[in-house]
Amino acid sequence: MMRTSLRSTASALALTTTALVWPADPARAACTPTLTPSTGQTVTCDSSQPNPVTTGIVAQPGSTNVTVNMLSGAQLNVGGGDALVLDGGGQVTNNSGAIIQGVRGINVTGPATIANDGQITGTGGPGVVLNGPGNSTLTNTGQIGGSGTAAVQFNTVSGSTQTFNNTGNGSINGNFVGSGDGTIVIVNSGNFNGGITISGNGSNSITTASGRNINGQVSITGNSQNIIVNGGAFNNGLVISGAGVNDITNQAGAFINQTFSVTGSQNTIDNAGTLNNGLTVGNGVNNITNENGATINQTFSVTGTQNTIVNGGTLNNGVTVFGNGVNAITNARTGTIIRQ
Amino acid sequence: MGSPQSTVTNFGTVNGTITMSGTGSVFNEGAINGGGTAINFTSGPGPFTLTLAPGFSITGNVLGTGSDTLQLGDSQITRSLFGTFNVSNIGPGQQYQGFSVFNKIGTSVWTLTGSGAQNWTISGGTLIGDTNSLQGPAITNNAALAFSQSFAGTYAGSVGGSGAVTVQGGGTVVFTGANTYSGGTTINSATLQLGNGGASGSIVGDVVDNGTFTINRSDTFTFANNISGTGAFVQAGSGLRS
Repeated sequence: MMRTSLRSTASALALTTTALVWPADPARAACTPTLTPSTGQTVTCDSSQPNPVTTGIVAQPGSTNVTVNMLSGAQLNVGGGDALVLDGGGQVTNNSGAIIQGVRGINVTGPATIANDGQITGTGGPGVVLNGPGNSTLTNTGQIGGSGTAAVQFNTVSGSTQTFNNTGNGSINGNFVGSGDGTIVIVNSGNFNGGITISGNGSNSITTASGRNINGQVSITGNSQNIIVNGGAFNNGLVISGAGVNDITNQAGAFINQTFSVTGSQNTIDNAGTLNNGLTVGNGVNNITNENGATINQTFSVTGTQNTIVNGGTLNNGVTVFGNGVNAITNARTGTIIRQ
Repeated sequence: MGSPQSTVTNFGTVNGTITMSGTGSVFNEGAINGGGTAINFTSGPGPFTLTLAPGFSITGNVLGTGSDTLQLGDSQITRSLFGTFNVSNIGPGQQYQGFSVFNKIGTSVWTLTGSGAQNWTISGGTLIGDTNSLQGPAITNNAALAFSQSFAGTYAGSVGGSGAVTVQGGGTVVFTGANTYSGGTTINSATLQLGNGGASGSIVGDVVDNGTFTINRSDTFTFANNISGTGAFVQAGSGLRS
């Protein structure tokens, strides 16, 4: 009865009160054909009224391959729940000028492809939550923000790969949080105004392009396999704990500032850039190379059962190897080791 | 768990002290500028080995455990063949302390300067010294050993092994000990004298004499090997030569 009454009122006062009335009526939403898509359906939201749409798009339980297109100017702004929920995968495109905002902006279970060139915001949680199973990709050339611990959250399961491409003018304003035993791939050539925290026993890959930064701390726990390639700057350190296998490359011209600490069963670290706050490597079998032209400032210490260290650059505070392992340290012809 | 086993190889520059514990080795073809102490093995338990390559540089003391090994070896980077080491820097209070085993390894040619009585073991290449730098009472020569000097001096120890000995440089070298090296002796523009008027001083094997080969003993001494070359032979002692 209330819904009918409101619709009647809106018709009578359409010219003056549309903004007050339409948002409460899904049937008049600018997202068509439905806010509750089923398998294979496509939902398109545009900038026609009502805009913003204040009711979330929630795919039918069990539905798969749902497509949501947020056209430029379209706004999905949900105050009391998630703005967009896909239960069994699909495609989401949030175009430039479009806004998705909810307690969680997007909450998707894969396999899914999400492309954001607009703005996605979580007001009470992450902007984007991407869950396994399935292989999924989030590509961000717009803005993603969240509230609390994460702006983007990946919950993986074993056997799935979830990829986050933050590229172009893309900005993540908050942290990336990953969990589970699947594979997480992060490629940052955009603006990463937060950190990365990954738990679980999966495989993780983080790549940062030249001139691009990750401004928060990168922290990885669990017995995971991690490949890190930094061509830019990790501005608040890199801490990897657990008994995993780690392959870390800090490229020429790249920086790792603040704490750089790695604990794993097998660690390969190749520094061609600058480590401004030293390097601490614990446990395991460690192969560490400081290339010609590279610099490690502050404390450089290694504790492991088997340590191979090659320096062709500059160690400004020496190197200390602890423990009862087998150690081979080579200072190449171009190398300089300065013990403060 | 056991103690650490560490290998440090330096081709570049180390400004500071290399400190090692457990067992291990340091190979230095670069520069170690240690100030007071360049290398410290004394945390032990050892043993440790320090190998020096031609072109090396160390400033500051090298402190061994007392039973460590000092080796003169080959260049791995510059391939420079020739090295120089001052044996006066070995010993208590000197730059190299706590070493008791002294080896010449590889194909390189090392010249010893200064004064020292180390028992070198020559397993490869050539070790060159004189009667000041080579005073070790028991030198094992399995490659090549040369006494090179322009002055007269005496080597009172014994050179053994399978290697050869060369006497060169225009001076005189007097052997007063019983030398058993089996690789033969070559005299080049110098004098090798067996004995100094007493009843000792001998070698075994053939002699290629392109200088002066002198026997100066008081007793009856039989030299049963071949003497060849363009040099002179002198019977200088009161004894008999047979």
